[in-house]
Parts: sequence; C-alpha cells; structure tokens
Amino acid sequence: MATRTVVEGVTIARRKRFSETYFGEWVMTTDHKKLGIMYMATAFFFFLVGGMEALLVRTQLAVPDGKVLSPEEYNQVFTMHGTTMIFLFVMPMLVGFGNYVVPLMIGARDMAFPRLNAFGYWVVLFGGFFLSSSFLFGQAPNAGWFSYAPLTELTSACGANAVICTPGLNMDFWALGILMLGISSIAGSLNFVVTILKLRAPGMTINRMPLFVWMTLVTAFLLLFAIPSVTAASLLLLLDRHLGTHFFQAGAGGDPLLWQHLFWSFGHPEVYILILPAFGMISEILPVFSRKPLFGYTFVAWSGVAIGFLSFTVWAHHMFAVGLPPVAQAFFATSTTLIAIPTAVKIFNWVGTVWGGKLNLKVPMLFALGFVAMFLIGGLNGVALAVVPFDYQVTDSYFVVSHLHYVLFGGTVFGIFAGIFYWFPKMTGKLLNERLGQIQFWLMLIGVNLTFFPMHILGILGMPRRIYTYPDNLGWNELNLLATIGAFIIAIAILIFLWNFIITLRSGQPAGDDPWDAFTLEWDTTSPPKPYNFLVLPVVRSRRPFYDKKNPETADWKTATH
Amino acid sequence: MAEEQAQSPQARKKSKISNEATEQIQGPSKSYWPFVLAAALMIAFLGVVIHPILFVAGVVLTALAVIGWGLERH
Repeated sequence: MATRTVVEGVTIARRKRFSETYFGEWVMTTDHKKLGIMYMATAFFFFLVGGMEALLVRTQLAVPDGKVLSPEEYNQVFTMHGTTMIFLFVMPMLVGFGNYVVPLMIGARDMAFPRLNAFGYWVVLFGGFFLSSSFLFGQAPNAGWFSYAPLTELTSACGANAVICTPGLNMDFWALGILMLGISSIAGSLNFVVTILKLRAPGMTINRMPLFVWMTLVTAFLLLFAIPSVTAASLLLLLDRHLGTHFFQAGAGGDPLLWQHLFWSFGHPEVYILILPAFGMISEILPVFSRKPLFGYTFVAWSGVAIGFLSFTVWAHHMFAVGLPPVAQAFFATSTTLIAIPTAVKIFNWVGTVWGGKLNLKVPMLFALGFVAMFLIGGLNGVALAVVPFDYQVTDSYFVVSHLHYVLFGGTVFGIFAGIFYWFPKMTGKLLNERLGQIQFWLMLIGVNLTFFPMHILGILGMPRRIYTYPDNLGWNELNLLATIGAFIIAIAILIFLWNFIITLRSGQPAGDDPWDAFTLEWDTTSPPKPYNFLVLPVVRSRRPFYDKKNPETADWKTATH
Repeated sequence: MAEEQAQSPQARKKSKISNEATEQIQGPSKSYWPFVLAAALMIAFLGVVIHPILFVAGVVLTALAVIGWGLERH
C-alpha cells in the first residue's frame, strides 16, 4: 500500500499544490471516508434523477389514454428508471456506506487498496455519466432493465423473415454501461473482501464482527460471483449486434433463452446484493435503539451467508412462463421457497431484539421498523410468486412491480434512510433535524403504501408492467391515480429530506462523538473522524467493544463466551 | 540524563528519529491516476458508440493512465 505520513497543524508558506486545494483534495483523495461520502453524494444525485423518471412514468399512467410522453420516450424513461435506481443509486449508496463505515467498524485505518477504492468510485461516476449521456443522443436504453435478447438485437431471425428489433445505439449504451459499472463492482468487492478478512482490529474475530460488516462481506462475494454472468451476457449481445454472431438467435442456431439464464443468474443474486447491506444496517440500528444486544447474532450472521448461497439457486423463478420442464419448475419453486427461511430467521431475530427493549423511537429507529414491516410485505408476496400456477397468472404484471418495489423501496430505501440518519452525525458531527425526519418518515410510509399496494390489485386485474397507456374501461383508473398520488407524496418526503440536509449542514445541532450511546467501534472516535480514524488501534474483546469500554462493570466479555 | 550522555551523537539522533516515527501514522498517499484512468475508460466506451477516433484516444489514454499509475512514485 502506498503511504503518506499524516501530520496535523503544519503550515508552510508556499503556493498550494493541486492536491492541497479543496477541489484537488477530493479529486485525488484515497481516504475511505471521503470516497464513502463521494459515493453517497453521487448515488443520491442519481436517486433524484431516477426519482424524476419514476414521476414521469407515474404521471403518464395517472389517467387512461395518457399522452405526457410518447411511447418511445416512455420506453426510455422506464428503462432508465430501473437501470439508474439499481446500478447508479442503490449499489453505489450501499458501497458508500460500506466505504465509510466498515473500516471504522473493524478498527482499521483505511481500506486495503485505497487507490483501487478511488478508481471504483470514479468508474461509477463516469459510468453514470456515460449511461445518462444516452439521453443527449435521444437514444437512451429502451428495453427494460433486464434487456431481454433477442428483442435487444439489431434484427431478429434471418433472411426474408428478419425483423428490426433495437437498431439504434440504445442497447449499446446499456451493454457498455453495465460493463463499465461491473468493473467498479469487482474493484469494490475485492477491496471489501481483503479489508474485512485482513485488516480487523486485534481481537475482532469473525464471530465478533458487526452485522453490517458481515453482510458487506457476503455482498462482496455475491458481486464477485454474479457480475461475470451479466458481463458475459453483455459482451455476447454486443458481438451479436455488431460482429454478426447469433448467440441469442434461434433461427441461426442460437438460444433465445440463453440471455435470460445469464441475466437472471446475475439478476437474482443482485436482488440480495441490494438488500443484504440494508439487513446489516438494520441489525446495527435496532439493538442500539432497543438498548439490547442483537437477539440471535449467530443466526442473523449465518442466515445472511445462507441467503448468499441460495441466491444462486433461484434465478429461473423469473422464467417460469417461458416453458421450463416440470422438474426445473419444481426445483426453482422449492429453492425460492427455501430462501424465505433464512430471511424469516432474520425478521424473527429483529422482532426478538425489539421485544422487551427500552425503545427509543428516533428517526433511524422509525426507518428501521418501517423497513421490517415493508420488507415483510415484499417478502411474502415474493413467496406467492414462487408458486408456479400463481406466477403464471401474474408474471410480467403490476403484481411483480409491486413486489420488487416493496423489497427495494420499502426495504432497501428505508434501510438507506435509517443508515443516513444513524451515521450522518458521525460523518458531519451534526444531528439531522428530528421533527423534519419524522415528517419525512411518515410521508414516505404513506407514500410507499399508496403507490405500491394498489399495484397488487392492478396486477391481479391483469395490468401488464411496462404498458404505455390503457383504455378507461378496464377498472384500473382509480388504482393508477392512487399510485400516482402516492409517488408525489414520496417526492415531497424526499424534498423535506433535502431541506433537512441543507439546514443541518448550515446550522445543525452538534452531535458529539456518540449521540446514540452506540455499541460499535465507529463511535469510539471523533465525529467526523480524523484522517487516521483511530490514534491507537482498539483491542476487541466482545461483539460490543464500545459498550464494553463505556461500561467496564457490565462489559460483555465478562459474561459472554464469544 | 546520565544514560543520554552515555549515548553517542549518532545514537541520540537515531533514537530521536525512531521516537518521532512511532508517533506518526501512515495513511494512503493521494493520487490522480484513478480519476484519469476512469475518465479514459469512459472516453474509450463513448468512442465505441460515437466515433472510432474517440475510441482510439480513450485506449491510448487508458494505457497512459495504467503506466502512469504503475510508475507513480509513492
């Protein structure tokens, strides 16, 4: 690792180097905390972009025969909404949290490979610019976030039966953008694996690691094994489009289902890549605001590992409707049902943690509890989708849209806001406004349910996902209008958060180093932490090292065996 | 004091440097190469969809960034 000596308070009378200017500090930084903040700021920017795309979609669908967007614009907007939210908001945001918090939590001074870390961030930023620049050419990706081949080929079939599919640059932007973002994901994952396995403080055994660290480690492994699949798929698609191969063309001996297999063998682990770090955050926040240790630490940790393994065995449940053989359907229905078990174990343990605790209902706790409730709905309707005959009825309908948004918005986004409110004081030394935070939480809770619950019914009534518009005689009108109103309520909640963020940075209440009376090592340093994190590396003797330090009489290591 | 007087000037100097070193904390050095390499990759990718010249420029920049990163003095 390249090193520099951190010396504070030295002033030298000379012209500043670029690296010493404010701009240069950020461009050249390899500090995990600055990079974490840069990841999160970039992700939040793309959250606003993706959110505006969602509002456009909902405005188009608010009433029958909507004409807010043209059909082609609509295709581009909903595709970029999904792609932006998954690859440019949730993933970078969770990596940002990991970057900032993981080294502090394990008592390290930085990530194992600081420059690789910086490279990962810049690739995300430029990859985001690359994908979004497609709008400037009027050719944004337009085939949905999973971009099924052969519809994404230039033409489908051959000879006289050739059909033009996606002739523009739209899918080239998508495939190349995914390749670029994949480079960042691999760089970040390698860094997390090595950091967590090699840089833990003395005494922090695997079984003493905070749960957020555990889940980040599992997620990093998932990325390392899942990204190659979508990378291969994207490359094959580019070869088909530009070099005359026919990997996905049945008429030329290719396999049209190959894309779906390759994509979903990435895509389903990806769902857990998007939710496992949020599980970790919730597992940190619930104990602190319940004034209890996490109930069933070992089960929560290892159920995360089990979810990681099982996530590679369920991909074809996205493909029940393509006509899989009965044995395959039975296998994937069973594995999908099985994965609900470790997930339910976590929910049981979170409830067990809160049960009988001295609850402190501050905003991080509200979002954490909201996460558990919303994710439970998303998990249960996911189990319903594992039932093959039911899946036949609602596949590619708004029921599926409802399911994935309960998991990724009600789940992950609530987890992200829980994390923001929880760690913001550590990052800035200031507390976000509690009242504004509570208003934001309740508006989001109402907005999420108003937007996504009616979609269950819309799906059962037969409304297909990605439909451009609909006639007014299908009984979908009121439910769509409700969903649109809910989306705008969520938008108001986000604006309130932005206001809260700005006023807190300008004149927020000082937080102190440990505003929540927390248990883990990131709170055992200044807020914000010094560049070197810890003057003296901490020694860990239990799962709650900072609690032990503050409460030597009742320290965990005196009673617990771990 | 007596112990200090017993040391040679070289030994005293060495001891002083050693004490300072233990009080210093090593952190990662700054670098602009990660930024340059990522920007170069974006230019190359844009070149694939826009124009071959841009692609060639991106590839050359990528190569320069990799070499620059590798040769950077720490």
